Amino acid sequence: MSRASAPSQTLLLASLATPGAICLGLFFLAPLAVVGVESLQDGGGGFSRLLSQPAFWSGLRNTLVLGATAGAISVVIGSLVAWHLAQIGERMRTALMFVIALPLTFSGLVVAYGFILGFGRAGFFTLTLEALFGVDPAAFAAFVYSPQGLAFVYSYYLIPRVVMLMVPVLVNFDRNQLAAAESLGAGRTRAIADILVPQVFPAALVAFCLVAAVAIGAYGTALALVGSQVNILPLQLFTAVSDVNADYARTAALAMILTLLCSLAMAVGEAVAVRGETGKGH
Amino acid sequence: MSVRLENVSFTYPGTPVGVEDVSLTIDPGEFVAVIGPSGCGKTTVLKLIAGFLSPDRGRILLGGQDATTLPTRRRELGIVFQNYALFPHMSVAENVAYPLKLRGVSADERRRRALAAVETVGLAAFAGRRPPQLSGGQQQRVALARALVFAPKALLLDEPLSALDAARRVEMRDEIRRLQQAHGIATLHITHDQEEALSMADKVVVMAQGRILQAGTPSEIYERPVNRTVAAFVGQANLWTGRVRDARQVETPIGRLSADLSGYRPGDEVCVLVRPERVAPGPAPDGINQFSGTIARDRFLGSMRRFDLSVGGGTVTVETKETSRIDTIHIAETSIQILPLDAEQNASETRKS
Repeated sequence: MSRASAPSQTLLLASLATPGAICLGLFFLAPLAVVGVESLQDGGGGFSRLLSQPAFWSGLRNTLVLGATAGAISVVIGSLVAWHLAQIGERMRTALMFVIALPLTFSGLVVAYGFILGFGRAGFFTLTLEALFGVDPAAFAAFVYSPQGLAFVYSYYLIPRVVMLMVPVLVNFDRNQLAAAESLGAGRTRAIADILVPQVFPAALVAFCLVAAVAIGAYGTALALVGSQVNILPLQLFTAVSDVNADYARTAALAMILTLLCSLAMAVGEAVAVRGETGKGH
Repeated sequence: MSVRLENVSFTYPGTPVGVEDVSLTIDPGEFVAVIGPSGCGKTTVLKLIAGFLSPDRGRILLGGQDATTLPTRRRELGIVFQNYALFPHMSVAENVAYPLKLRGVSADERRRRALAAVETVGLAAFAGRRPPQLSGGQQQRVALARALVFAPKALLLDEPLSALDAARRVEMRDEIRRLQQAHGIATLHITHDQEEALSMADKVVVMAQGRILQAGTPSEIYERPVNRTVAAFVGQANLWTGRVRDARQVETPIGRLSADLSGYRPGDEVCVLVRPERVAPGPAPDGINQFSGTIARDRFLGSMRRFDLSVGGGTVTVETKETSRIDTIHIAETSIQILPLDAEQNASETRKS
């Protein structure tokens, strides 16, 4: 078989990459550049006005706490689910992965309404708990509309992402290592802590960064559930762009900061992934 | 320290697979190899001794103490797994030091002992490397060093050579035996390679269908197999089903053979065993047990030649250093062993007839 020459191979690769590059340029880079330029109008005054507002800082803190909390909950639960899936037969695992991945196809709004129907004041679970244990529906339903409730709801569609990322890692983990550790004198917990955790931690950290970035940038679910009751940056941004009299430079600055946060989280995840890959072998 | 299994039985839940009534003793310093076809239960025996499985019946004794219900971590056994199960996130030295760390040995002391153990297996220059950076043979040595560094009561080897190439396998056999003898440790070696078992072990145990068929020295197993299954599994063998004609003769697919058939009655079905290296090329001085035929297959094996001679309705496999054309062979009466047909073989023969 003849090998294609280097220039023609480069041309082929470039032509394959072109549609993606056009999409990236038209729908991400160009709008981002416009927003970036907008944010720097009047010498970066938009950033000054934004950073001088206490509401921004409390919104930033809430956003980071929400991202970290939802990310942590999702990574813990998702990793446990993935560990279980890694230990069952391949056919059953494939079937369960299909079911687990379903929430990824729902929009944030659908998820929010689903939780309202389930855990809202007249929700199925709320009324069931009232009927069975006399739980106060108003007090119980308040949870789902709180920042903690938001983290809980976010976990619904973040956990499948974690499961998808962690299952291959755990399937490939050689469980003989745990048996070896036990034969060498380690208890089960010690073997997991010394052998399993260090090996899957990089993947878990990558998963955390990814889902934290998703949680930081998400607004649809939050909007449907809590409206403007919870001060987080995506809802601040939504409110600002909905306002016809908005300070566009300030709004653009807010968008840039939110983009930066999500990109930073993703970059940390990518860096961990690359480090994990290069540290594995030669 | 000795390892002893007393009438141990185990069945995997929901299956008929397992081991049945296994009794076995490994004396201190003894090297015992368990061989048998895939699924015969040899790895199950190792898992039972290691504590990864609990027997349904019977007892497991380590150094005379009942360890049947003792958890794995308290059995103090060094185990080398088929794929070595080294910890890829730790260096060679850290892998070897890990059992010492679990025993509360100080950092300095465990580093000193780990490096000494790594040096014993000839890997001092690789102490800082991670397992994925080592070859299969080197990983094997690390696994051995890790299994031996804490002076375990016994060593269990689960097909540790199966992942190596042929040349490295032979080299590692000697290495394992050297380390085992240096530590004077009771060792159980699981393998499906009969040559490996015969060349390494003080005692060989042959298993099939969850049961021990025969246990003995390598030469006992080879020279005096108890039945057809053992004879077929250990070494090359001519195995013919024959019918006893009288106290001196048996009818086989290659013809009538003179042999010592005392203990059998005319009409009995038996298994006739002749090792290929016991078949002599050329005519017999007295004409007894002499056969002529055509060579169906001839193989050059370096130090010898193995060929199949089509004789009558059967085939005789012969091993010889003779390189010239051969169409006549003979079999000394003393080279013929008469074995009872295995129950399964018997049933199969009955079905065929």
